[in-house]
Amino acid sequence: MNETPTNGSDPQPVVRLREIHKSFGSNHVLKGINLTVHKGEHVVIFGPSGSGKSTLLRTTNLLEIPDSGSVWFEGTEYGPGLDYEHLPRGKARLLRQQIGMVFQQFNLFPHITALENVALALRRVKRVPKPEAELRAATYLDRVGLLDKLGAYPTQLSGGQQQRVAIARSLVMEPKVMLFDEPTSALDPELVGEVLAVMRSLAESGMTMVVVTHEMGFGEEVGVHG
Amino acid sequence: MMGASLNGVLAQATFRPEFIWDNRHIFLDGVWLTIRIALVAFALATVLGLAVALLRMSKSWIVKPIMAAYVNVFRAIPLLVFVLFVYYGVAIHFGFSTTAIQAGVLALTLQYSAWLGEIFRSGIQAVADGQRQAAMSVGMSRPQTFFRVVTPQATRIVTPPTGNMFIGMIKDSSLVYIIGVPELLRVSNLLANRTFRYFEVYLGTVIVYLILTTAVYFLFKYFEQRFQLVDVLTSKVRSPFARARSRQLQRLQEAVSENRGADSSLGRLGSPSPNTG
Ligand SMILES: Nc1ncnc2c1ncn2[C@@H]1O[C@H](COP(=O)(O)OP(=O)(O)O)[C@@H](O)[C@H]1O
Ligand SMILES: [Mg+2]
Repeated sequence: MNETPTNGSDPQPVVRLREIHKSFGSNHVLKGINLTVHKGEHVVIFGPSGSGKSTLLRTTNLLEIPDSGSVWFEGTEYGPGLDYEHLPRGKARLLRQQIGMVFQQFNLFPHITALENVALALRRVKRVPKPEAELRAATYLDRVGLLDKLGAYPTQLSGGQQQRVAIARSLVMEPKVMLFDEPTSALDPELVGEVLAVMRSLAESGMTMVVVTHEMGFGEEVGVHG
Repeated sequence: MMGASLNGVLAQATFRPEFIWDNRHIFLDGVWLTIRIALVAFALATVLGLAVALLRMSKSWIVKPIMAAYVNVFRAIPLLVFVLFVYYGVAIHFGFSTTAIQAGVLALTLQYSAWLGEIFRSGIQAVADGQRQAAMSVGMSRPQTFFRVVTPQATRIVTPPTGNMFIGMIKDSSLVYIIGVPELLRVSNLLANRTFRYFEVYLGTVIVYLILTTAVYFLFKYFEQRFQLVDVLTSKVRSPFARARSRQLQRLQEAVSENRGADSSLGRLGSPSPNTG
């Protein structure tokens, strides 16, 4: 695996992974990963299939608990033996609210509309009242160019549109970092562009991003400026 | 003697469809009890089945094998044998003050809770793991993830097999005739044995069961149809609720387009627009 930190103009760290180890049974996937992501930085991760890129991203927002090592985020260190194990689960939820994640398979909720997908966490996690949550959700759908698809269900959207809804669903929580796990590799080639364009604008707007990708284009245009 | 018997046989050889209609109150009494038994047993089995499904997914090394045994044992016993066992073998033998109806409902409930538990469990497990990850990644708790994301999708998955189970329950409820519960099959047997009009009686029984199961079939088809998702803004099929929601979304669209650019930090992403620069 090969991390390419770039844009390191601002030294303020946002996320720091320290000596992360993770095994599934006898399969030792992450072997002491160290990674520091600074504010506004765009880290691009390449690596062969099965090398643990998804596991690394899931560990970063504690969807996966590392066997050892720690995740430092915004002044708090989480990991086995540290704070986090003894605190209520709510602590990990607080971290996840501030770290957005976009999946290879989009993972939109198929039983609710695009608008409701984006508004769900605002309402249930941040307890924003419905009219306000839906207005904010609609604003983010507009940002990704899908204002006319508010009432559509995921199956009625193209892959590119679904992935843009998924990006809006993360962004609406106003995360400090966005994690992208091969966001375009499940897309038909002609739909890759619209998703990359959204990610490029997001990168230009200064969002801190960690991107696992096979799109060398993205790496060149966004990641490898430094 | 001989003549009378022969006359009787000849008389029964002529099909008299009006016989069914003339005895409709008997069929109706029977089917009313069938409906009540099936409804009560199915409702109880659904609640119990949900508990079975959740416990069966437990990681505890003690709960897991117990629930696996529960499911496998109840599914392995023939229902007719189980009905006899619960009523004569347990209730009567040990002197519980259980009525035959209660024993029958209990036997049906236990067996169906095992079948439904497996259906519910597979429905819950059929919801893609990515759904849970996506819900948790935006900070939702485990209960929120279960109730807001997993359950609604699992409900859609389990509706067709659950409908089949309900039809099965109506049919299987006939087996409690054996402990003397006067449901549709039992009253039919009594009527046939009394009048020797076996063809008319059992034709009537068959027709009533057919009507009942067909009604349930269409009820569940209706539920499945309700689950079909159509774009709220563009679809033509409209309930008053959907119309109101559609107007709501249109107002949202207007509000958002009017406010565009008011907050320059919220530029549009991915499309060339004045805001992205
Ligand atoms: N939940 C899991 N349970 C068991 N093994 C897993 C799990 N997730 C990933 N793995 C294994 O970990 C390894 C790395 O997987 P992954 O992180 O998905 O790799 P990548 O994203 O780089 O393709 C693979 O061998 C995979 O089979
Ligand atoms: Mg992967």
